[in-house]
Amino acid sequence: MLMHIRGLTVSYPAVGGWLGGRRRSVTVLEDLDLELAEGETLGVVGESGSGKTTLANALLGLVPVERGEVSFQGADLLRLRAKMVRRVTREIQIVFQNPYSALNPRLRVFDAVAEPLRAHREAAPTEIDEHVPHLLREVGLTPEFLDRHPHELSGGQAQRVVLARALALNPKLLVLDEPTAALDISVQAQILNLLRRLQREHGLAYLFISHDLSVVQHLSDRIAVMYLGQVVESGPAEEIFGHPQHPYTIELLEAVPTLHPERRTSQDTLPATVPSPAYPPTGCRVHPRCPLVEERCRREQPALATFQNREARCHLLTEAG
Amino acid sequence: MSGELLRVTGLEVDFETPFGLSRALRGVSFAVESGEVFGLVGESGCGKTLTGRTILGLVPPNAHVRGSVSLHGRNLEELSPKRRREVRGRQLGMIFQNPGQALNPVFTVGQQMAAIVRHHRSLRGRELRARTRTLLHEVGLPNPGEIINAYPHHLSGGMQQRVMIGMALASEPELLIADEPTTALDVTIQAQILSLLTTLSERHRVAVLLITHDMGVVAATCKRVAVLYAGRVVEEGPVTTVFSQPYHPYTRGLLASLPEPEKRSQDLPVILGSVPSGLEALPGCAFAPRCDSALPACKDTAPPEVRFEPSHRTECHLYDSEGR
Ligand SMILES: Nc1ncnc2c1ncn2[C@@H]1O[C@H](COP(=O)(O)OP(=O)(O)O)[C@@H](O)[C@H]1O
Ligand SMILES: Nc1ncnc2c1ncn2[C@@H]1O[C@H](COP(=O)(O)OP(=O)(O)O)[C@@H](O)[C@H]1O
Ligand code: SF4
Ligand code: SF4
Ligand SMILES: [Mg+2]
Ligand SMILES: [Mg+2]
Repeated sequence: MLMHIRGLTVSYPAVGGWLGGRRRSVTVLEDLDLELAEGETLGVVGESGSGKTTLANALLGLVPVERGEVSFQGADLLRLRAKMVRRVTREIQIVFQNPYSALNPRLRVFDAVAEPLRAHREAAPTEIDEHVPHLLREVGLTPEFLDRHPHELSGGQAQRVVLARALALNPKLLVLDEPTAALDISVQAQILNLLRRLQREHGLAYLFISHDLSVVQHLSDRIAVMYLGQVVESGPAEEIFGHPQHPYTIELLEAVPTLHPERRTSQDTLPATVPSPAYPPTGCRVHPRCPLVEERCRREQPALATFQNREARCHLLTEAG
Repeated sequence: MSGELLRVTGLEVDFETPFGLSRALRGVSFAVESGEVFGLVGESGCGKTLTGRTILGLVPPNAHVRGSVSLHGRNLEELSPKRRREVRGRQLGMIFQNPGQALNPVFTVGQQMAAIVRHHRSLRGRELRARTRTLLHEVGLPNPGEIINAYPHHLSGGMQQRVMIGMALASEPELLIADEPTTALDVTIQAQILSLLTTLSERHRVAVLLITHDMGVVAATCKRVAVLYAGRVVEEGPVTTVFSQPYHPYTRGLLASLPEPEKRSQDLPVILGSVPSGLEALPGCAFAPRCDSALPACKDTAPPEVRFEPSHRTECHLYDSEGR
């Protein structure tokens, strides 16, 4: 395993406001368990607010972690000594949805891509001059882009520059948080192809976060479905998409509009909206929206249980074994 | 009522810009039948929003508009400006991508809805409240009594969009123009809003012009579709035939580039290049620089309109006038 996440829990202080300002905290990730093998893509899906971005941020130490463990290549990421942090975290790079906010508007493409190499004293200046154009070629950009500024790039080109920069330090893992959400369909296809090629050629592992299930399905080997800060079902991508077991996964997949609506089995849609993590439902968090809810679901929280090659959090599945 | 409700013919919009005249719409034509959900699809910048706004008469001052918009066969240009505003205000409604921005944060939902209802019908007191509740009920808001007193920020994005739809329905319009109404919403909420729009068209005979970049949304919701590229409709027809047998190379390319289960773990076909800007002169086919099938004529001769059965048309040099 490249990375093991055990019991990862993240809380934010709740902003005291119209409730009278009493300090309480909101748990947005609760007891998250995930695994990622080398060179593999784990797709993380879930509605907005389910905690996907918080997960990405927690791995990079960008939000305080309440408890849990992240072991990356054997090192405990959350308890590293300062000197080790630099060495280990360069192996993990993150790419966000909006490439323009990831790029300094005043830096030329050359300097943006060279920045991590300089910061980590990775290469002598002459080597950097050679390596940067090479990285650009890797992401399908010609050297003519070296002197451009971010505003002279299209969304797809800017996202390629961000990827080139992420590759500069030869990472093992790319955390991709909605990397194609801001792009047009035809550009999205180009970036998805690029991601597949980079993975093949560099043996990269991806933690691929997206609300777009068809994009996740396209790239992922395994899938984790999140709901209100918990994983409700995870397993091999073909299994999850082909035979979803958890009631929430089933409903989520049903809601995706496809080019072949005639293949759809039911027209039902999930009722109600996602509750706020500040007031999580009692028992099973899915219960206010679950078509199969039972009395017990309102009281008892189901544990994450393993079934053959998948894990799921649901009383009905635990019973059925 | 059935038959043709809206017809847009040769709609052209030019903008005066510091760099010269920019041609944003280059002759958009399509027609929407009464009570149907019609999709207008294309990538960003191709002119979807502008088409919707031009139909509503909401163009910025630096725009020059040519071509015609007809409702029930009546060219709006032939009406007096006052009458034209009335017809648009009464027969057309519009909703946008970000309901949170379109709603006023300092008034309750009830206050905002009542203002709109009063504008269209001279109701007061109990009748006004009843009508407001009916509208909220029609858009599937479960407890209108509570929603009326809520401020917009108390509502989720999906509920805000329902409120917007309710407000757009206040005039009992025949056509609802919905510009990316679900783009900012989760798929589960999107499914609910799309099913609401379908219900409105089926049960209340409200036609919907659904503007979106999402082909899946079109497939799930629309009966017919027009594909827009660089300010022109390049293909129009029933969704089932346009998606299963697309004729225009751009439509083909767009559909092929979508990740679908069958294409899992494969490279996706891509359309290289980018959408031309409105400042470029495009004497031939606007898609020619990116088209795999381009013929010598494509660069400088505008492609002919070709019709296929039934009511499926495209603009492309690949086919002769008999549609082969
Ligand atoms: N800095 C923060 N302070 C307080 N709450 C936050 C913060 N960031 C995110 N949240 C809350 O945490 C939850 C999960 O958010 P996020 O991780 O962004 O979800 P996703 O990426 O799945 O949409 C949401 O309810 C969000 O409002
Ligand atoms: N006020 C304006 N001035 C100049 N150009 C404009 C203006 N509004 C829109 N455009 C141009 O019109 C074209 C179509 O825009 P739009 O209808 O918003 O596209 P879409 O909704 O399909 O993404 C774009 O190229 C855009 O830059
Ligand atoms: S535990 Fe109960 S409420 Fe939760 S998903 Fe299973 S059936 Fe539904
Ligand atoms: S007219 Fe020519 S360039 Fe345009 S889409 Fe048809 S074949 Fe391609
Ligand atoms: Mg997010
Ligand atoms: Mg638009």
